[in-house]
Order: sequence, then structure tokens, then C-alpha cells
Amino acid sequence: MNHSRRHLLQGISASATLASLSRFGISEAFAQSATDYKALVCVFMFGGNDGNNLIIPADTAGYAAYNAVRPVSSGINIGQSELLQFQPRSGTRVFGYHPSMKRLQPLTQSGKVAVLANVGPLNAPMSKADFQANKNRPYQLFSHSDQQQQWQNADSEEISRIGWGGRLADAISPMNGAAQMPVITSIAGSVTFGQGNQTTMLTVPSSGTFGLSGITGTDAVTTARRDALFALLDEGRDHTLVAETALGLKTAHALSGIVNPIVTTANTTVDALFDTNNNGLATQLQRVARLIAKRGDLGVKRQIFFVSIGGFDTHANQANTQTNLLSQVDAAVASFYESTLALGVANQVTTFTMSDFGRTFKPAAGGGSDHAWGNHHLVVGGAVNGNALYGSFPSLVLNGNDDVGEGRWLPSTSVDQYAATLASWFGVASADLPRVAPNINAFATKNLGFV
Amino acid sequence: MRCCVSSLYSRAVARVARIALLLPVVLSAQALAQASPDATIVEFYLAPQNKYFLTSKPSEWAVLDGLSANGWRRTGLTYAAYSGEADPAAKPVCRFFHPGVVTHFYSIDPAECALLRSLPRDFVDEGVAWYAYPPAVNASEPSGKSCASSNTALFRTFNNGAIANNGPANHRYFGDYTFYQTYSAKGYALEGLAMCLPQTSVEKRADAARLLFQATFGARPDDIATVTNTGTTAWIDQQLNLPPSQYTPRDWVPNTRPDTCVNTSTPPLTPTSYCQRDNYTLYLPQKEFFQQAINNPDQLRQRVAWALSQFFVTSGVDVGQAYGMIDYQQMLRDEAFGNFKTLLTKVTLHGAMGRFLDMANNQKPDAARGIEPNENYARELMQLFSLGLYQLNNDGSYKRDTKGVALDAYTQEDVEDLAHVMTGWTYPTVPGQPSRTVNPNNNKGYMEERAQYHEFAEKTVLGKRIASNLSQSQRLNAALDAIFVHPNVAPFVSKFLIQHLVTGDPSPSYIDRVAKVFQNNGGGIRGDLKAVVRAVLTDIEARGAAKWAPSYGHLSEPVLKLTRLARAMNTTTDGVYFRGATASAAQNVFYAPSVFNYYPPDYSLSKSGVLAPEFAIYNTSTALARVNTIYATVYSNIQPDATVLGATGTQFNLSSYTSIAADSNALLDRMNEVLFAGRMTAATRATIKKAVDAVAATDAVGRVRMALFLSASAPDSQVLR
Repeated sequence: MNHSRRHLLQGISASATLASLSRFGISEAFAQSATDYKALVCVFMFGGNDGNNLIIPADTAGYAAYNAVRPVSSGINIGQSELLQFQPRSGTRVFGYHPSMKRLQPLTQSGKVAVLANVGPLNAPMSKADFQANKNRPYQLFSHSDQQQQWQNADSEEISRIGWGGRLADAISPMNGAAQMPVITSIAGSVTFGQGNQTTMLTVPSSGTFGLSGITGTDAVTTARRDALFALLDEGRDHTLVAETALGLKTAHALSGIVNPIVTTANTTVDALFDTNNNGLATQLQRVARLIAKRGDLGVKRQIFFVSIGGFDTHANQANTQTNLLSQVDAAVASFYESTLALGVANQVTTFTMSDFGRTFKPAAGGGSDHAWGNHHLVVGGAVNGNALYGSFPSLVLNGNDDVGEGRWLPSTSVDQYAATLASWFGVASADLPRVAPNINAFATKNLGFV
Repeated sequence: MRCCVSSLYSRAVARVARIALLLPVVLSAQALAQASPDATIVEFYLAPQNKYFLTSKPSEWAVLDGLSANGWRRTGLTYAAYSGEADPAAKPVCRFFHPGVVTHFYSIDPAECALLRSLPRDFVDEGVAWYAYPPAVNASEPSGKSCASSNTALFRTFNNGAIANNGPANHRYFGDYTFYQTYSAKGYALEGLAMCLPQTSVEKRADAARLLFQATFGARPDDIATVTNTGTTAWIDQQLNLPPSQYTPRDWVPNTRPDTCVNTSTPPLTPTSYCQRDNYTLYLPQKEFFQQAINNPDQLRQRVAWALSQFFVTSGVDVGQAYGMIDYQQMLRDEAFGNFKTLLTKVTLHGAMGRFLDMANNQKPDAARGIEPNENYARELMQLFSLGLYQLNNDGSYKRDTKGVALDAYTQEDVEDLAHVMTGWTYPTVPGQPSRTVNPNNNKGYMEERAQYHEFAEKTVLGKRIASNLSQSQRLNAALDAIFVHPNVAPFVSKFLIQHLVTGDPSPSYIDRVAKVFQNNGGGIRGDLKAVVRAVLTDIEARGAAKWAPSYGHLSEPVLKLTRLARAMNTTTDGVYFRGATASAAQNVFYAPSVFNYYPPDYSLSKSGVLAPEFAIYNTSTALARVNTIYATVYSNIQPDATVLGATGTQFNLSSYTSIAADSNALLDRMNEVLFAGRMTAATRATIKKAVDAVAATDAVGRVRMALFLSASAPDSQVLR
């Protein structure tokens, strides 16, 4: 671990002050005001999605390599005939999706989906020799909590509670002018991804009312209760924690007044596009679509959303579990893309996936796979340069150059590059990218070009 | 009154203040039974000059209350005292006025009073201010003196008038030691313990209520009297000696759920009707957690075990089968007041932790297979369970090199060597199954040695040699000893317990005092958690008069928020309702999102930098959910859950409130004690009273619900202090 850097970052996570920005040589907001609308939507697959079964080479040699390590007897084999094929325009090889990706396959072929192959947390470009020499290794590889953090904060040298979504929000918040609506909205609770140095995410529940109970009504008792509750929040206080508690509740109530009518009111343009039965991700993305529909009312030019789906930690019984989960992802993300089309903002909304880590290409006993590293991810939207594969697909050979053990792929592309590409599309200037992706200058390519 | 004219700093006051520190301390001979105080000392503040003034004379209160236009106001702080020699141990406090500096000085020391009387040109003798008790010499206390635990220790600070923004020279006195210490950073001299003041029954009941916030899952209406009748220290000792509540144990189940193990709602309800829920989720231990936290007497043990479960985190995210989590949580209860080394050993070897952090079946290096030992547990053991990332002084501050850079507590080599030393442990053998070299998943009980998978090479952990000729378990023990004796452990563990029980941003001196007890319980034992917990709760920064430091205390975490309300409502419950109510409030019991817990101990507020761990999960969604959960609980009737065998539902017994509900002032007095520990502000009281009065006096339940909902929702009650 690089100690000087570690201490630098510790200062940031601990104090979260403006002063910490001096680390990047920047002392003031740099984003220009914007006239257009853009939104980024992060779909986080908690537990570590097995990308090796999400995207499989469909050419004869490629599939043979896959089948050699993951034969039918492993319990996690996807048959060649089951693959939903697509031919990335960026190369000659044919690939196939997991059979659950029924709706994203045609979207890929129509150029709305790009594949980012073998991406993962890195401090700097890394060779297998570097890994074996323990040079530049991200901390706590293969650990859920640490790798979730590193995906969310694009920082693999030391624990930081500031996420790259939050830093991106810090960077572009001036574009939203005086809008009361925060830049980031999480429909999936407090997450590191959305915590900035200056900005804090709005968290909205995935279902039900976002607002206070028991305050609507005109009878004397309800009126007295409502008036009293608000009076309690307005009482001046000199205790730090009491004041913070009151402010948090007051802010939440004020924002709920703006947001709740949007997320709980049926929207005839987008609602019917989602099938939310047994699909929590669709429920969350439906709320995102309702919010985007009202972007004009909210007065925002840039929005970042965080949604999630869990259960991908498939050490055993992977075949059924992953099929179920990927079916939900496929339906929810495709529905969401269609909703952006219906709203006329398909070219202004980009959805992207993240997950704890990839999983071992070598099968684990019990029909599963174990924690690994590099993984394949999808970027969806009208602005995406799709039907293409970015990064470099790993050689599906155990103990090959891409494998650091049991089929754990050494990433060819970093989370920093992934984040920086999306940040560039969002309007962050190249020179300012380190504010969002701290290690980006260690990589030659700062914009992967997928959007 | 001669207190209202500005003046410059006078050397005389400083000189007297210095002399006072050198004067011999009078030993007090306080009677065991103290008289009830009959005087109130009120603190006034003159904002334009930053001056503080204490008086117990109602005639002077009237004068100063009439000078509000000049900037005089009450700070809200009051203390109890005697107007005369109420009992033989009470002594007069002399009051002097220094016209040059325009400040008052108070002393209980006869020699100090005599000295000032000998300086009539500098000091005007204003007679006896009130009566109080002299401090006793006590070398073990921070100031070298102490007061009886039933008294308020009043500390003196001095602003010499030469510090920017502090205004002219002035003394300020503090009954809150935490607040007193914070004045050092403002440039005030901390002049030590000035006198001991009696406490009113209201003050004692407020301290008892605060103790209940710190040491239990909330105060039941009768608990406050129990604590005051027993005495705080005796009550703590009673709690430390109660036997642990028991989770209902469950038998091992296979890792993969059999297809026959499903949930069926078809009657009749049998113990296996909800096979999947009861075995493959943590529904039952969650339910029992609330049932026992709300109903059972061993409150302190359960509260500390709950804190420990957020220190030695295992989570249903990975350890999702009830039988294992029950066994692990019971172990934390059983060991909560034992020795930290024993606890560390049991945590390390428990099958639930073995699974959660991958120590189970972690094998020695195998070049042929390309296997290296998993470092997950070795790293978290040091980073989260014992040492932290940086070397600590005993007061919890970082040790730094000459350039000011914090020093790492351990190296990557320590992690790797420790990981090697910890190889060769497999899951406990499943009852009724043969023992295997690599046992299948079993999260109940303790892991077993498999020497063939243990790395016996000599290693060095934290500078301690782990010899190759020791047995596997001896090598593990040697490594845990190397951690246990590390100087970080005492402040690291002490600070965590203080943060969870008392205050989120404890003073360095508080950490230091508790850490010293961790090092030595007084009988030469290191790591005695019973002594450590007692030290946390009996410390001067936990007990005594109301706490006024501006960041004292902590936000009640979602679980505590709800159990506190339940106990205030005199609830009897089977726990079903409460497990459901917290599951959606960012604190799903035993399902922390990761080993980093629901919230980290080092989370700080971005604006003030104050450490405030619970605020890491306080967001727009949970802020509303907290209040809505209070509303749902207060205004609901909770029926037994038909899917739970033996369900009894939840009953509230509000009779101690409904019986006085017609008198809204009496009702608010009860709320102030049970939910605010006496810290309901006048404005909050007026606000809630108005709403209670809006409910017809004949609707006793309606009034009580209004009072409970608003009191539990009030920001002053959501923060425990």
C-alpha cells in the first residue's frame, strides 16, 4: 500500500471538508451551467454477478474454451444453443448472452447496449507479474465489503467513505443552479457511491410513501399533532446532534413534499412499461422513470440515480439463482430504456451496471463459483456507442495471463476509467477527471468511448 | 448589583486563582445521609462581555431578569445547594467581588476565603453565597479530588481576559466534566474541582434516566425509581451479575435448503410449518432479540452484547441460517462480562465467524495448487476487532512520526504471517456425522484443528515470534496473545464501548480512564470487560448532573429508538412486531451489510467534524421512517401473528400515563423523565403541551398517544444524553 496516499485519502474520508479538494489542486467549482438534461443510473448487483455466464464467446474456439472449464457436469454450464448471440461491431468474434437477457440482446444488436469486458478495481495498470509481486494490488481483493466499496468509490488503496457518484455530483452540482432537488437520488438506501465531499444523496424508499404519517387531516387533533411536530423541528438548538437530527427530518419532510407526489403518482407514460411483479429492481427503476418525467418541475439538469438488486453471491446452486436474478435485471433495465424513449430522453439517460466482483471461472463445488475480480458490465442508453465490446475480453484459460488464480481475471480496464468515461459524458472536463476518479491519471486511456 | 460594568484584566484575580491551586485541600467528612437541597444556583450570562455569574439569591435573579435589555440572560444551567448548614458536613461558600475586573469568585476553602479577606483593596467580601460540601482528596480522580457519587462536582475555569473573543477576565463553573474540558480549547485555564453540590431528587432521577438510556434498551416508567432507590453504582453491579437471557437453540441444517423445507400456511400451524423462514433466515433470533430486549431483566448484558455484535460483526448476508447466528449471539451474551482475550478466542474460532470471514477451511500454502492462505479474517481481526489501522495513545489519539504522519498499527507482513498462523481450522463436526478433514459448513460451535492443513513455519506477528514447535492451537493462542497485549486494544475497545453506550465523540481523558481499567481491573487482570463496562458507566462523564457539552451523547440507533419507545410504553411482546419494524429502518438486526457494521465508529458530521457514528445511516428516508415507526407503534393495536407458533402479540400497558392524562403538566413531567432524561426544553414542553391539551381530557389514551408520539419524535429525545 502506498502510505503517503493512504494518509491523504484518510484525511478526505474523515473530514470531508472543502480543504481536501486541494489534493486535486482545485479550490472552486469548475462546472459550467448546462442547458441540456442528462442522467446517469447505476444498477448495482450486490453479491458479485458471475459475468462469465453473462457473456460467453459463441464462436467455436471460444465456446470450446468455455466448455472445457465449465462443462455440463459443473452444473453452471450454459449450452451453446441457449446463448443469445450478438456480433460486436468492434471485432469479428461472436458472443452470446445468458439466456435470461431476452430483451437486452435485441437492444444490443440495435446499438443501445455496450459491453465493458473485464473491468475491476485497479490502482494502476497491472500485469500478472505485478500481481504476483504484490505490486499495486487493490486492498482486500475478493472480499464483498471491500470490493463493493472500491467499485463505489473508485479507490482501491485505502478505505474511503466518499463515492465517485458523490464526487461527480460535487463536480457538476453548479449545473443544477438553485434546484432544491439533490443531484443524487438513491432508491436503495445510504450508499458510499452517493456520498460526496459537499453533496449528500437523497434517499427515497423503493416502495410506499416517502413522507410523514399521521399529519394529513383537518380535524383538531391531527392539526394539533402536525403543528406540534413541525414546531419541534423549528425550535432553535445549540446541541450539534439535536440540531442535525432536526435538520435531517426537516430536510426530508421538505423534499418529500416535492418527491413523494412524483414517485407515488401513477405516470401513464411510463408505468405500463414496467412489470413490477416479483421484480424489486423494476419497482425502483419505475420510480426513477417517474422522477425523470418530472425533471422540468424539479428544475434539474443533471441527475444521478442509484438502484440495486441483491442475491448474486452464488457459491452454490448458481444456475437457478442467476437465471432468476438476470431475468429481473433484463426486464427492469429494458423497461427503463423504453421509458426513456417514451419520455423523449433516451439519448440523455445512460444506465450502467456495477457489482462487487466477478466470480471464479473455475466452478466451485455445489454448482457455483467463488469471489473473483474483473467482471463484464453493461452500459445502456441512446447515447451509448453500442453493439460493441470495450476493454479486452479475457483469455478463458486457467492459469493463463489473465488469471490470477482459479479463473479470477486480472482486470484489463479500471473502475476509474469506467467512471471517468461516464463523467466525461456528463460534462466533466478531462483535466478535472481526477476529482471524480482519483487514479485516472495512472491510465493512458481516460475515455473508453462507449458513450 | 455591581456586576454589570466592563473592566480590564486584573493580575490579582489570576494570582488568587494560582494560589488556589496550591492550597491544601480540606478533607470532607460528608454524612452518608445528606439533607435535601433547599437552594437553587442559577447561572446567568452577560453576552456583550462573555461573563458568567452564579447566584442562589432570588432577589438577584429578579434584578438580572430585569436587565435583559443589557444582555443578561439565564443560560438554563442550574445547580442545587443549601441556604444554611443543612447537615453537619455542609460548609459555607464565600463569595467575593473584584471591582477592578468586575467578576465574582466563589470558594468553599476556608483558607482561600481568609486569604481573599486579607486583600480588602482587591476583593469585596459579599458574604456566604450558599452552603455545599468540600471535595475529598482522591488521587485516582482526574483533578486529584472528588465528590461523593450522589453529588455534583462543580469545576472551575478561568478566562484570564487575554484571549481573543473570550472577553474580560471571568470564571465559569461547570457541573459537567465533559463541558468543562472543552473550555480548555477556548483558552480557559481548567482550575479543578471547586466544590461538591447536593442533588435534588429531580436531578437524581434525570441521572437515573440517563443511566437507563446508556445501560438498557430504554427506561420503563418504574425503572427510574428502581435505580434511584438502589443507587446508580449498586444498580450497575446488580445488572453486571444477572445471568444471561437465552436464545432458543436450534439444530444444524444443511447449507443447501432441502426442497422439502418450505413455508406453508396450511393449518394446522406446527413447528415445521415455516421451515424455510425459521431455518434459512434469521427471523427467529430477530424476534427473540426484541422479545428479550424489551421484556427481560438482564438489560445491561443484552445491551453490551448488542454493541459487541456490532464490533465482532457476523451477518445474515453470509451466515443466514438461524442455528448458527443464535449460537454466535448467545456466545456474545455469555462472554459480554468475561475477559476480552476469551471473547477474542471464541469469536475467532466460532463456526459463524469462520464462515463470515473465511477462516474455516483456510489452508496452508500449496504451491502445486497455487493456494495461499486467505487473509480476510487476519486483516479484519486486527483492523476491526482489536487494533484499528493506526497506533494509538492510551487516550485514543493517533501516534505520529516526526512529520505528523499517523503510524500504522500493523504491516501487510503482519497480516500475511497471521493468516498463515491461522490456517488449518475446519468447521465443527456436524452432530451425528463423521468427522472429516474438511468438514461441511457448520456455524454452531467452535472450529476444529486439522494439523495437515496448518502452516507450522515460524512467523512473526506484531513483533512476537510464533515458534514452529508449538501445537496448532498454541500457535493460534500465541498470535491472539500478541494482539491482546498490543497497547491499541485498551483504547480501541474502550472507545467503541463508550461510543455505543454513552457518547459518540468521547473526550480523550474519558477514553484514557476507561482504557486504564482495561489494562488493569484493579486486581492485576487485563481485559476484564465487567470492570471496563462498569468504568464506562460510572465515569464522571457518564454520571452526575445534566450534560451540557454541545455534542455530548449520540443519536439513538434505529433498534434502540424503537426498544426505548416500547419500554417507555411498558410493553409486553413476543418480538414479532418489532423485528418487522426495524427490518426496514436501515438496521435489520443481525444483517449488517458487511463486516463494517450498519455504521462505522469513525463516521463524523461533515460540517462540525464531530464523531457521530449513527448519523451514517440517518438520511432522508430513515429520518422519516423513524418518526413514522413511532407513529405506527403508538397508534396501533398489534395482534398475534398467525404464522408464528406460540405468538402472543404485543401489549402496551399505559396505565401509569392514562391515570394522570387529565393533567397535561403531570403527563409532560413523566415524558420528560422517561424519554428525555430531564432534557425537555421549555419550548418543546410548551409545544407538546399545546397538542396534548387539544385532545379532550376525557380521552386519556388519546392524550397519552399524542404525548408519546411527539415526545419520542422530538429531536431532543432522539439524541440520548
